[in-house]
Amino acid sequence: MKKFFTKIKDWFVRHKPTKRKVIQVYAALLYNANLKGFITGNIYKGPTKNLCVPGLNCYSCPGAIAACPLGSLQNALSNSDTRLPAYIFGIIILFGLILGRTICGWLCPVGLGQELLYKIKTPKLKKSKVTRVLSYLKYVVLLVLVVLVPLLFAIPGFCEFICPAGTLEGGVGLLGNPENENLLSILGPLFSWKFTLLVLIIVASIFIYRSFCRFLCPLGAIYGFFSKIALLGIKLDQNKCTDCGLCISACKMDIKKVGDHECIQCGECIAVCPAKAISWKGEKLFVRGNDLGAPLSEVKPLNSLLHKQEDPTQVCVETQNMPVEEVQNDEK
Amino acid sequence: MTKNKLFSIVATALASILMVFALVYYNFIVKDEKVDLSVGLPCPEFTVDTYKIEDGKFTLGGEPFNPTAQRGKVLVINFWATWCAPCKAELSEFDQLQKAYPDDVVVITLNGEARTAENLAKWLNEGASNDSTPVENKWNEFSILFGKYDTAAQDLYQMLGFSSGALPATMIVSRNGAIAFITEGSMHYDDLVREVLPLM
Repeated sequence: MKKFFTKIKDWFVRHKPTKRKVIQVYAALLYNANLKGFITGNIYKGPTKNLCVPGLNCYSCPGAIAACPLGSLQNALSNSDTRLPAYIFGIIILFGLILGRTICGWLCPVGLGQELLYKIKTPKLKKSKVTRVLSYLKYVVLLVLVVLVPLLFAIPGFCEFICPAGTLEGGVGLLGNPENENLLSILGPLFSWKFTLLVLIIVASIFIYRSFCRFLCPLGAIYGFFSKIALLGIKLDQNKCTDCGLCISACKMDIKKVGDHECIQCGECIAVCPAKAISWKGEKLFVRGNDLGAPLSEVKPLNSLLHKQEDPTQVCVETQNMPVEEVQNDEK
Repeated sequence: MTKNKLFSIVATALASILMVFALVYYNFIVKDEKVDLSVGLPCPEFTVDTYKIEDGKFTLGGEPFNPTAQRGKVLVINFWATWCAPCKAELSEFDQLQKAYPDDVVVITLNGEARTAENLAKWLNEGASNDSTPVENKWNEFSILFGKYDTAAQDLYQMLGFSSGALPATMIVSRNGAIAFITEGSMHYDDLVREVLPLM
């Protein structure tokens, strides 16, 4: 009996969710906090529906408390005529500047769903040159279905022809409710196509890590433009990096280097790096005492800054490197 | 306690409060409002009185219009006002549609002026001929239905979510009673055909 309980305990210890999973589940639940909608089959249309969540989460999901940024963008572009849809542009740029693709890795329910599907134990398709080339497909989707089709034909193209989140949340979630039975008759061939695509993406996600994010998601493509300048995310210290390439081979996305437009800032490479060259941006705000070999004041007396006229960023790099060098010296 | 630990405790606490607040607010505090209408939802039940043409004159007393009774036909429900020039201009095109598909389409136009709801017949019989907006057909040659704008029509207009007073406005209901199309602004014959034909 005791053995049985230790087994269960071991299982829980081994399957303890990572901090990232907890945040992903939290975000998915918060985006869809209107849980009663799943029972009543009514979508929430109150004041917060005018806001956008950062991740891809369909407006028509019965639980959704806010709008989808990608859907709002397409609708704004289809109705804009000659006006600039400033609100949605602003909010996407704001999300991009602050969070960038951290949203993909930490705050997107679609990403979470695909990661959970990938946990199913099967042989996996590793990234390759082919997937790298396919990863550019999302820019085509962005240009054609999110920008050109709404502008030229006033149709939210991505929502209408591709979006699996829409099919799952808005289609299956809303129409699957027995309360909305009378709506089933309006489903046409377009839904058959989208449903097929949803099934394909679900199956693909079991074998290919985040297949939708990597190859199709235009929202990730947009946030990717902000990767370099986003306030949050991971960064690579070029001074420490030894170009060993372990981070890139450990990464399941199609990155060429850490923190580029394909990187979803999940931070899983931080532990992989033998040189400890990868860290969170803004980590200095929350320095751990034991991350530094010695207090900063000892490593570099403050008054030395006053005498030297150096670039302050250079000084920071030096102070960071000091303890490492000292350790190396000791080893010799 | 390190700065980090404190930070993560505060962050976790704030996140938990936010989540609890959101779950309570959306599930227990927000009331299910009157279900707003949108494309895909069923057209609500309502009845409006209609005008009939007798000896070339409009009189109230046509057969009351009820969308449920018209199942099997595509319904085009239009909102207009006598002061709205684009509304009057597009009515001819709606009429053209009605005449082209008399058995498959029912077009009804609801006059969105509470002020003249009772006097619409009078306006149609007398005022229309002096009106500054020329209408292709004579008013009494229209084969579309003219409905009386009462509270049912008013509610419908509001539930469709049109910005207050926006006219013309049009909704199209499919043969099985689902709302297939909602628009603010003028509809031309081509637009109408494009929306209506796939529903037949």
